[in-house]
Amino acid sequence: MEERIFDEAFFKGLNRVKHVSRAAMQGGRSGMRRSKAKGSSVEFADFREYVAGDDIRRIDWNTYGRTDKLFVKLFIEERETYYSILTDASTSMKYGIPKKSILAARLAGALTYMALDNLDRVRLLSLYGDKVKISSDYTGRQGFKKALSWLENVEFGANTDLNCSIRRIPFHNKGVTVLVSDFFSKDTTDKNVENILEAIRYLRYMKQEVILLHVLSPQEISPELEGTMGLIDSETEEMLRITATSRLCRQYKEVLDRFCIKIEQAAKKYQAHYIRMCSDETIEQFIYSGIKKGLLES
Amino acid sequence: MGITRWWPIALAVFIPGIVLLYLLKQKVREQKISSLNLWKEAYENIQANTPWEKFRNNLLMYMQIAALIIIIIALMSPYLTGRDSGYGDIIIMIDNSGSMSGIYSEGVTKLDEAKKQASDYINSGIDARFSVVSSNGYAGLEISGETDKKQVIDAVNNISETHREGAFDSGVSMVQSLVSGMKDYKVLAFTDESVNVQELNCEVIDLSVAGENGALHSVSHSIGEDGTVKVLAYIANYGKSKLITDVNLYLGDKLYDIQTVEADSGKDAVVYFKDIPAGRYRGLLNSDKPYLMAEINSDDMLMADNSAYDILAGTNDQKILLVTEKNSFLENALTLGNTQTVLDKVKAEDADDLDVSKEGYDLVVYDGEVPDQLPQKSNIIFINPKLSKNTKGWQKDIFLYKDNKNNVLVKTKSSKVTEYIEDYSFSCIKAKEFELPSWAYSFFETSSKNTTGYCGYYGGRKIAVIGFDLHNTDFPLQTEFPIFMFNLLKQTMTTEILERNVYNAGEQVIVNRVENTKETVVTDTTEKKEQYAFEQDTIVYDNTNYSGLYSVKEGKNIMYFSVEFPASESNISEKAVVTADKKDIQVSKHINDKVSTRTYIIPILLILTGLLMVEWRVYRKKL
Repeated sequence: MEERIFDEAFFKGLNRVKHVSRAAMQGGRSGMRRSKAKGSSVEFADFREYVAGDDIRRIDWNTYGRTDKLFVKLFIEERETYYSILTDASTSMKYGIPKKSILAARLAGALTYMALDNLDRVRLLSLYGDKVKISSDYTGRQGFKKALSWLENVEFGANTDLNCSIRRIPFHNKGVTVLVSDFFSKDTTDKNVENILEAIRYLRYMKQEVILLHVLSPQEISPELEGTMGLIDSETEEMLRITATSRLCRQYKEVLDRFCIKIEQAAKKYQAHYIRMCSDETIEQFIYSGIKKGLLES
Repeated sequence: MGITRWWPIALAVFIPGIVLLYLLKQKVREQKISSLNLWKEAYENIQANTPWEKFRNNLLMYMQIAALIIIIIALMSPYLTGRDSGYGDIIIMIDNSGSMSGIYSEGVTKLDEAKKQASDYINSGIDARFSVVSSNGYAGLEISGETDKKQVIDAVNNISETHREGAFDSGVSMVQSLVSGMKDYKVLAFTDESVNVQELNCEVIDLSVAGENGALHSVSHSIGEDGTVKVLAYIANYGKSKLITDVNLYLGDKLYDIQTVEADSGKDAVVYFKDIPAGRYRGLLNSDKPYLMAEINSDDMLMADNSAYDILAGTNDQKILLVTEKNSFLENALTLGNTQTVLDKVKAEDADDLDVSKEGYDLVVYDGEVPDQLPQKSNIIFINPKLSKNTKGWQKDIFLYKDNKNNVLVKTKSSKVTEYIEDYSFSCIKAKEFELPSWAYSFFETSSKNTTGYCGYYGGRKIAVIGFDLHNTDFPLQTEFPIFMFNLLKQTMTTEILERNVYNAGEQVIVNRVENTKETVVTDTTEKKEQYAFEQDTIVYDNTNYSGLYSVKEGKNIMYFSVEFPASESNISEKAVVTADKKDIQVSKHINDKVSTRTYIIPILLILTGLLMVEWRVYRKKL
């Protein structure tokens, strides 16, 4: 890659935050996440009367002294969360100055770091065309290095159908699925939003907490076009001849805003998180937005 | 609307250049973007909102083309409106004399062209008060100081064609009185003849057109000793080239003969139709159409002068009765120059025994006598009638006797009776003075301005009165006397419907009442009949604007008269020469209005400047 994805600025502040997952983990391995399972953790959950077969080591003798009844202490068992971080590897992600793909990789890297730091398990996936490239599961700090290496080697440059690609991903347990994309496709805006909605619904069905990270470039947010131009779609190579007037640019911004709002509303409908990022923004700004939206906590 | 110069229109070749420049400029710059979908939607939204978005894309190009067109128009110096707008009053003077009936272009007479040019001018957006004057020897004020253009154009269009003779002088006189006191006026004079516009601020539009014109000025006949008739037609060639044409002779409305005649340019020719049988002539004379008509048998620039009529009149013997003691002057004078006059003489004492009515005298001359009873039909001349101051009976209406004067100077007064002897006077030893009756006109008056000779139409007959004895003057010894008597007989002998049968266009026709008819019907050249009731013994018919054959009918009597096209109006080869008292007058074929055209370049350039400013603003906005 021309630009270093994971530079010094990237690592600054990563230690300050961790992901607040609403997903109460079930199954999986022990970790730092509170699970619904009551187990051998140090975190107290509740009391219940002793029944035969209970571990007598968990009887609370202090309570017995006050009530003359045997009570057993219940503790919340902490288990790891399984993160699936999906990166849209379509051609459109290569667009922009700086490229959206760079921010996408950094966001994926940052979330990987937060997850691994919290003793969770992470897998990285790139949606390339109708294929899905899936990394191995990463855990621990060693896993983070491997993950960064994997992210640096993600190849962008295909026409990706998000909905179709996501349905090819195997989900075995509850977990958190992060989708980093510009959400552009060859379909019309309404059809595109419908596909995104379908994808979120599918992920929710697969018991995933969904986080949508919408990455746009500055040129997409505030296009600076002039005169008569031929705009070429990076994915379909289709050309649209326009005369760029200030009125047309204003109209474009209105359409873009409506598109983003529709995605956000779709996310809200299925209790998914939605954060919009510009490719010239830093990880700190992402963290700030995440904290603001209750996705991250310091 | 008009254009001063046409060459700037060649600059229009640059318009394709502008379009080409825009086409080249619009070479598409390609740019890759992540996705087209949002742009497509935005573009469709704009196009849905503004269907002319495509036009707007090239707005600058259209504005530049418009600017170029405006520059071209400005260079062409159009004079669209406001010609002569600096004038508060515009007087349109249109010649409608006979020559204006000539052809200007195919199917259009000079008068039509004058009306068209005048109407176009009025309609061209001029803000002024308009007056319209027609001139055909007589000036007519058609409308004055009018600002309603529709009314002005109606007034112009109502000017009708006439065959009258007349220069513009009468019109110029009227316009001069019209513009007195006006400071900012302009006169537009439409004519084909020479005119002196004196000191008027005048622009003359010359409508003269050179071409071929032959005119048949007159036709007349003579009866030979053997009774055969010879007809003579007088033809003039006013055209540029030699005239060779057939001339038709009609007896009544029937074609009798055709002769070929040749006349060089500017020359005259006479064509004869000889040996018309006496019987044929008598038959024509007794028919209901007793006239000859000669006609040039080819079309030319002026058709109205191509025919002429000769109305045939009877040549019956005329009987005169002279009642006198002795008057050799009268005896000689009454037979003067007319071999067909039969003169009977009778003395006063024998006159009462004579039944004058029965004898059928056309004229009875009472010299020094007054009969007890008037003859029933005959015309009468009373010379020095014996009268008392208290007249009675019929005498009351004829003699309004005042006094008897001695040693008076008798002067002629301008009238038909004193034609050619105007301003003549003679001494008279004794003369009677009369009050002029309402039915008569005076031809002699004394030095005290009292009437002593009068003539008129009374009771279905002509009556003339002379208030002195011819022996008491030296008048009969003078050369003026036979002229006077000839005129007097001419006026008193005639009792026909018309006194003449040839008139000039526009001339008044006196129609006499014969046999106490109550009305008369005049039929004009277009067979249109007009009926007139007799309130007096004569009526005046003045609708003689067109040359041709007219007829007058009273009871069973019918009489024809012809109106001649004036020879001076036939000369179409003459160009309009305009003279003025103090300054040169420009003569043109169309209204000249170049002076005010420059004024309108400024508004055009202002529009151009505004357009360029808008263009600059649009350009800046695009940036």
